[in-house]
Amino acid sequence: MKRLKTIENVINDSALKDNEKTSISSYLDSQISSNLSNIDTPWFVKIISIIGTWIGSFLFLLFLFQLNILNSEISVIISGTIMIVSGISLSYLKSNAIVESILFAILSIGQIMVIFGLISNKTHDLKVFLLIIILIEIPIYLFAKNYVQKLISVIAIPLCIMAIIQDASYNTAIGPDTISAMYISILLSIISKLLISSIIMVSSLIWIFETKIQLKLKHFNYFYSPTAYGLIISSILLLLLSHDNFSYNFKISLWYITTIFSFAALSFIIFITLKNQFNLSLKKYLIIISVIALILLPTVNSPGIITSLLIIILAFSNGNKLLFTLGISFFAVFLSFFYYSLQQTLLLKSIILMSSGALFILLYFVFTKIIRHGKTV
Amino acid sequence: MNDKIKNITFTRKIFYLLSQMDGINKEKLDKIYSAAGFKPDKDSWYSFISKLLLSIGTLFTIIGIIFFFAYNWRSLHKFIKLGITILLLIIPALITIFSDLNKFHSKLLLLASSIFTGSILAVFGQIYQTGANAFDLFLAWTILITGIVAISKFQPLWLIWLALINITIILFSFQILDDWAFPYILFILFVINSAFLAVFEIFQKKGDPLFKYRWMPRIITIIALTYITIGSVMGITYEFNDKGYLICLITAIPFYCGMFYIYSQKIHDLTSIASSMICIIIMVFTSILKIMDFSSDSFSILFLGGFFVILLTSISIFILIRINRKWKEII
Repeated sequence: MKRLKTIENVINDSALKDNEKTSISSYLDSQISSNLSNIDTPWFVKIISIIGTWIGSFLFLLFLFQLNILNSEISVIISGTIMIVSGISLSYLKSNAIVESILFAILSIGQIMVIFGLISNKTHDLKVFLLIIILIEIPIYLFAKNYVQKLISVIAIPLCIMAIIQDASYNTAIGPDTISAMYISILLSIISKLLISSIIMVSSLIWIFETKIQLKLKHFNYFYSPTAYGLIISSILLLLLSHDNFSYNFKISLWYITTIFSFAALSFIIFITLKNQFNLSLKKYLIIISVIALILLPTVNSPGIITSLLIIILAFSNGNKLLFTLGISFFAVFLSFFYYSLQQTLLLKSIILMSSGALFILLYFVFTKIIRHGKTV
Repeated sequence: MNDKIKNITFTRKIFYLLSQMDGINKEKLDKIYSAAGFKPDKDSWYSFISKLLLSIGTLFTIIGIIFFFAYNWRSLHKFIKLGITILLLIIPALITIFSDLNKFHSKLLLLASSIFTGSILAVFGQIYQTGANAFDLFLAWTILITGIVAISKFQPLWLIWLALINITIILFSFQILDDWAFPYILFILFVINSAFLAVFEIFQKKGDPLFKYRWMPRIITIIALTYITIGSVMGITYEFNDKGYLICLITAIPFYCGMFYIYSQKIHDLTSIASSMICIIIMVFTSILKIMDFSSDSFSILFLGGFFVILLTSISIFILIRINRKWKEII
């Protein structure tokens, strides 16, 4: 990926008319000048602010406990709610890195207090606990303007839904072995795979149509980044369940459902970028898709591999280094899981790996030859 | 356009800001998107796909070979085991001898030779059951690759050598010395890493191009700060029951101040200043919790402590942003 340019270089290099360049320059001038601390803040300043405000808020919480303000469930719930509402309302004020971190700390502590107040001594049912988290996170996602809080909400909601499904599946699995129990298990398995698939599809579409969505959101574009990154992160975390050691609750696998959806998303992004951008013919496009499908066929029950490949392609087509790093890291993780869980001897695994390696190196030579031939023609 | 703003990097944040502009449409945004380099061109795609295929192919082949040897390792004769590991050292070394040391592939081969030196020692120890400690292995490894490190002019290799020195000292303290030496070991590790940092920064200040990249001194700074901060925090927690912890604390405070002065005035690097500030916040937090042990008025301490930490954080951020803006004005 290319190094990022300066604002001046981007405007000068763009194919815009002179008057358009002037209006964009003056707009950015006024917007960035009034918001310089937010635009120009190095990332580690945000890390310091989060660490510092969390430590400070933790001490305040201990102070409140010591004062016996939080000695009953009602007082905990009320105090927590006040903190959540304050955190959400104040996030709409113009703020800098310090204020944002303080508000994040207030919101987080408020959520912990409300959850703690609602569940303590009442019930030990996991489903209730997860539902409470979902019901708290939804309004926070919709109304809080804080980036980190929105990101956490987007990640937490699908994870909690998945945990509810896992819990129901576990209860079915340990229950009597009847035909209806089997159908319920299959249904729960399909629902969980469709949940993950829908998250993958939505996150792909969000990144593919980044510009269009930005224009549509306009002054609500603070939803975009946390939602886009949050969905990718939650899909990766959910796909970790596809590894044998993490999915003991599911009797029926059906991971190929997620693989099919991920493959559909990958085909779509290849269509949008390669076919449309480079005028690739339909025949060549279908050949490329077929080759990818053939290579990835053995991994049909490991959707993590094709999804990480999808993230890598998405990241590269959008010039997004963070997403690219995420994709590459988890591609390595899911590949390791795949080979680890192969029910074969170490000798056979080594032969499979060496053969796969040779195949990819061969593809590399074929690809470079085709490109060289295309350039000379 | 304002000079300060012209030179700001065009990130996604700026692009999202632009999308809020009245009168902007998809066509204009797409042009900006392409100009910003977010959309790769044909050549970038070709390069990416070919690198991806080659990397995956090479990685799979290497791992396959490793698995193959792992499967057959027990049944291999000891001379073959040693022979393979020695060959893994000799082949890259021979290629390097006949190559230009300034080329990147030569440096990578020197790195490979250094790593395989460790594997020879490990295999030797495994075959002959020498009964040596892990400390002996790492000490021998460090000494043997010193020559390679000296000629390599390759920062990753220097970092590996420094890591080996650190591991050797830590293993020495756990396997040879008793627990009493722990605070002194922390101090010694801090001194060694700070010495490396000082040498690096002196050469960097002289303008040596070999020392122009900042990632290595930043890592060493964080390592040095970690040792001295751990020593100080443990001292506060255990009420300086050992003189070594007191030495750590007495050294830590001027070190943080020194970091701040040097990296704000002499060498411009916000990461080192920020790391020092995080360590100060951690020390203050530990002190507050410790004060509570001695005081009956925990309410005031918690209230004031929380307030003080947030104030300290705010001051740190304010200073960092101010320094950052000042440097940009100078540039």
